Amino acid sequence: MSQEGLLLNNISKGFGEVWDREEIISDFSLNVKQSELTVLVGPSGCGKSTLVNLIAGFDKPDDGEISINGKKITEPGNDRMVVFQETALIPWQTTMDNVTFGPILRGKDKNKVTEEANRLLEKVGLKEFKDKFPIQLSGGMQRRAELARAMINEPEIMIMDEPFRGLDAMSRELMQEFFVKLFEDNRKTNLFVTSEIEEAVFLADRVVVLSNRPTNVRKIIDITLPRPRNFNMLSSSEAYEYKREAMELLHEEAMKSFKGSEVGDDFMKAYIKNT
Amino acid sequence: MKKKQSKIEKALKSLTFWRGVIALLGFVFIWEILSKYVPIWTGTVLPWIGHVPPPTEVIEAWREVFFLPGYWESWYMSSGRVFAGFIAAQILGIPFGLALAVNKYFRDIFFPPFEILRPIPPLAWVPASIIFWPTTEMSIAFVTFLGAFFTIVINVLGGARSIDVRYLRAAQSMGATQWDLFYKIILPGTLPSIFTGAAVGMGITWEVVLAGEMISGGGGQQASGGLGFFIWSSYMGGTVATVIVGMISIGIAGYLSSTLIRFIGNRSMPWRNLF
Repeated sequence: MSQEGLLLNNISKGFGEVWDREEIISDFSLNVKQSELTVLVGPSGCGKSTLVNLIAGFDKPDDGEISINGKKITEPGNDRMVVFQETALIPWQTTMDNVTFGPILRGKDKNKVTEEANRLLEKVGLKEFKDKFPIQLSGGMQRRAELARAMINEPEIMIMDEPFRGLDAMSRELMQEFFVKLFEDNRKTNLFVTSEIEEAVFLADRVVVLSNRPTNVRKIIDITLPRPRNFNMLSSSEAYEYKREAMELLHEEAMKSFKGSEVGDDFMKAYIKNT
Repeated sequence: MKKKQSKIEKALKSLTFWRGVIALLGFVFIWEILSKYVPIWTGTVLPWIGHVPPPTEVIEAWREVFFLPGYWESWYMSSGRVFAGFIAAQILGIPFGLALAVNKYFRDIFFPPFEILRPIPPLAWVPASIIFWPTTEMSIAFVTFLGAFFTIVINVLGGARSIDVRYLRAAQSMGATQWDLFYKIILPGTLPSIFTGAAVGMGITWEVVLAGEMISGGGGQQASGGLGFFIWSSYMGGTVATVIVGMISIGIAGYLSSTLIRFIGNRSMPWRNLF
């Protein structure tokens, strides 16, 4: 059953005209296994968001194929739900309307949808805020509302594109804790993109370290920390080893983008002197 | 009904309201001093303000015209023209702007001629429209319409084009059809720009109507000439205080129109005025 979960098969994507084309992703393959939380980490600007857009179906790969449980992806669909970097809650809809938006559009029974939305909003702790507009919610609440909106669509896979970026440190930790518990309760296949190694190790079953452009898989680290997870586990020697390894790989990749330019060379010299 | 009363009560109690009242009275008081008493006390007539009749004289002139049907008919005529031109511009301008925004072919065909006609000031259309249209009334209406139309279209187009792509993508993921995207995302997302366009357009229609009335001479009799002709004929008759009555009348009319637009805007966009 190698077809299970999300499968990316030799995909490539570039931008620009033929004569000055920049390859962002080239010959990229990855299998996001069912019921697993796979985290992608990569140096900033390495093409993570491009990858997310391809999987979501907002954009098409130049080459290769993406499939979910054997079904090829050609356009956006509710089998994949994306939670974006910044909130994408629709500003002119209340929390409730945002959550029920998808199912009602697809013609589901309004009463049943509302009932389900109430249950989900209670789960994410937003029951009292269901008639508020997004602007009235704090950053953390907005993310939770988005999680509820994604879940009600019952996707086969959830894609999270740096969903906790921009939150303050406190809300971020709370959201990570909340999210990992949510995942452990539901075991919904999840592809989580981040640039924070701590976050990656804390959440993941597998951490996929990406290379610099053109993006490819540098290494896959299996995280065998027990579940349910808690923050104390991050100070174990096992976790430390994961973090160190990921950090080193990422560092090497980040350095590559400096190479070749004058500023980059200076930076490298200074860096080597200091270490 | 109860809620409305408390709103008025609230306004009467609020400092903002009383500050506004005091500022207006203060302004009138200083005007009176500068234009009437400074010459009496010091014997020097101040430049500009010294030639403006003082508020007491203006109020006296106002009292004289206040009970004449001609004055109120001028109000009625001008407001009617503004309203007709404004509504026509909204009815044609909003769909036209939206069509430009959502359809590439429509934009490719209609945007270039639109952009060439747009910079022509409404008043430059006056001679041509007097030739084109059989009656003066029609030419005034047409020029008024043009004044608001271009502003409305450019605002709607800009607003619809600047809707965040995340909302469209989120809706698409959840299964929105093209019609859903238009009706649930693009239209409400453009509302703020529609109201900005309306507010600016309303200002322009008053300007254009007034100028049109001055140029056209109001068709012979003062009553049908509107406030523009009211000012013009007072000027010709040499009663400066009445000219100022006309000017202030237009100020009040413009203030009432924009208050109305703001009121409707706030009502139709509850997600925007929450703080």
